Amino acid sequence: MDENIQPITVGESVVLGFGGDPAALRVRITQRNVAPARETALQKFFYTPRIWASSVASLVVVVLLGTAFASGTIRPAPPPLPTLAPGAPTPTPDTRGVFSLGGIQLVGLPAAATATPRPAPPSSNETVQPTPGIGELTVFDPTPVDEQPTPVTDDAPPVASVTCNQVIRLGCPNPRPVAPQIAGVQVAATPTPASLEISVGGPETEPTPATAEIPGDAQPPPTRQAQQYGGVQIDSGLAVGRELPKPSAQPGSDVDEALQAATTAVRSFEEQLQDGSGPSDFGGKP
Amino acid sequence: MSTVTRPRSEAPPPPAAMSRLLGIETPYGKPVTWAEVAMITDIGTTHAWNDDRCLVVTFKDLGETTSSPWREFMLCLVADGATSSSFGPHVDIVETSSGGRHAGWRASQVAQGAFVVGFMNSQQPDPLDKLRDGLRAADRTIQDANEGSLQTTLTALFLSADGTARAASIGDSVLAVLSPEHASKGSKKPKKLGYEDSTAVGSGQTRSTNINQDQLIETWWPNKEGGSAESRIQRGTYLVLMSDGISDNMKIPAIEQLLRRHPLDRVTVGLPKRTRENREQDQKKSGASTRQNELGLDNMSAIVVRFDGARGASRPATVPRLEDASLVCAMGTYGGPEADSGGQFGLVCLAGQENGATAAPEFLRQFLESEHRLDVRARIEQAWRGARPSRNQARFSALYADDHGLSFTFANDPARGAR
Repeated sequence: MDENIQPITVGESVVLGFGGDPAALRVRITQRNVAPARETALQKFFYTPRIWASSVASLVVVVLLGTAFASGTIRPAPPPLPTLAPGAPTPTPDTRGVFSLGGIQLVGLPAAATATPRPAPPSSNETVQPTPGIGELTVFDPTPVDEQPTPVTDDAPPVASVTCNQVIRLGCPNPRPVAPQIAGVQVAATPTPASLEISVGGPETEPTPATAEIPGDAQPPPTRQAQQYGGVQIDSGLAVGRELPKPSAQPGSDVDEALQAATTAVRSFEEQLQDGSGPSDFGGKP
Repeated sequence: MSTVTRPRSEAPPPPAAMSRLLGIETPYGKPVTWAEVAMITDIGTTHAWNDDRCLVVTFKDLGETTSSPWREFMLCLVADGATSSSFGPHVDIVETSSGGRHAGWRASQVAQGAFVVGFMNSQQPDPLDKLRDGLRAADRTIQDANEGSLQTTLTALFLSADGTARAASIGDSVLAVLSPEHASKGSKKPKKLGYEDSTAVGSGQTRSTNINQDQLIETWWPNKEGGSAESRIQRGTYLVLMSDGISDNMKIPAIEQLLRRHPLDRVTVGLPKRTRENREQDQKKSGASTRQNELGLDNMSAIVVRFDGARGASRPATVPRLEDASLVCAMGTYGGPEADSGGQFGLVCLAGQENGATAAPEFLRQFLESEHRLDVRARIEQAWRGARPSRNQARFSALYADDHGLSFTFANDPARGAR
């Protein structure tokens, strides 16, 4: 017999070859202890959605409802309007869609602002910068503005921003702000990142995303300080020490609304006088 | 027939809650570079013996004369002996064991050895046809052995280094294929084989002309259901072969989730534990007993393969090319009639093939079939004596080791060979 069997230790390396053949292979058989795969408590929690899915869903509902209440989208129904005294101005009706249920109102989105002619065009060397009110949320669209300068005419007033009262922009329209442009003035429009601007007032340290090059002694447009926090840009307001632009009669401004209310009241008063049903004097006495 | 109780482990037992795995290291990988393999077997709770067997055999043509997919491939086999199998009255059981005349373990043992030889001897060019020939050979061998009423399931997977994959089975041992594309959208019908629970190897059904052979032998190949003409599996594909002890109690998506999160070997050795846990939960839901010995768990066995794809040259630059030789590595789990049947063994064979084929398959068959009849040294000697004439090969050397701490080298030339 030319067989040879030798006991060895498990794991010992041996050379397998043929008699007379120099080629050989070094092989070995090892053994190791292996622990079964076991998931940690964190893995079990993470991979078991039935544990945390309901909590996450509840949290989402709370956030949504909280936002809706905070923004006024859902609010308690107002008390019924008191009977108007004769001659009293009629309040402007709220034309927004309202869904009322059990004393709670679900208020629809405000109508989109419509452009109205400016009462007075700005001067050629003055740039009008819309000034959001304190505490208002101003939304800027990241859509880059055409770099080709377009002369601004009085017939095309820009819509600089859209006021949105909602924290997370629920239901807010997506405005397309126009970089402040002046006829005959080169405007460098810079694409801006998507950001939420919260005007809280404070010194200016950074220029606005859209800048205008004003020739001559024209004053640069007031710019707002903006700070970025994880993708959210907080506008701290206009620069201190610079002249604030005068509020213009923008669509939806307080001045415009006041004028409209006054006009309505005057018309109502005149109609009552013509009908003879109106008060004999301003005191309201018959 | 006499049975020999295997020697108790000389090595210290593995720590509690850990399993001992054997690994084969060759210059060509562990034992290959293009796939990772692990296997496990567990006796379960209902039997005092183990009818299951796992076997993974890798073949590599060291002369590099054959072409793909035959240059380097592996066979994975899971067999689950039928509980109803029993030795005939003419078979003398000298040393009784807890299995008594129960012969499921013998059926799976014989079937695996016969399959390997039938596959390698098949003249069919297609791997799928070779798999069918292997199953028929196993069926015939068990019947011709005339040891009694022996039946077993047998699921076989062919996987080549180039990704060519084919599988065939008789019985309800399962093949699940978890391709990478399923990772994000969940496995879409991952169970490919193992739907036939009324068929068995050893029943002689492969000889019957009244049975549709295409229905008797389930087959699978990549994209069999359509959708793509690609007949190879993707890198990162998991192939899981398991006996019904696991597949009946564990959902395949749960196995897939484990495989995506943990190392393959740890998942594999954890499958029986997971199966027990699942069974306990099911028992608890149904109000049944949750005691370990009353869980009603069958033998549990599994082979898990991950195809990683060939990376670079199959032969390292430092390894010389061996003319007319093959490297055959076998890793398997033991079955048997004892309550502690199980454990793993490894076998590395360097076999000459100057006459066109090697004696390794026949050596492996003889070695497997002599389990529980002879000790390891005698098994190796007998296996070589039985295999050498089959191929008229003189060049052969081998290394054997098991998790009981036994290891031997064998060479047919005492002046040279294993050292």
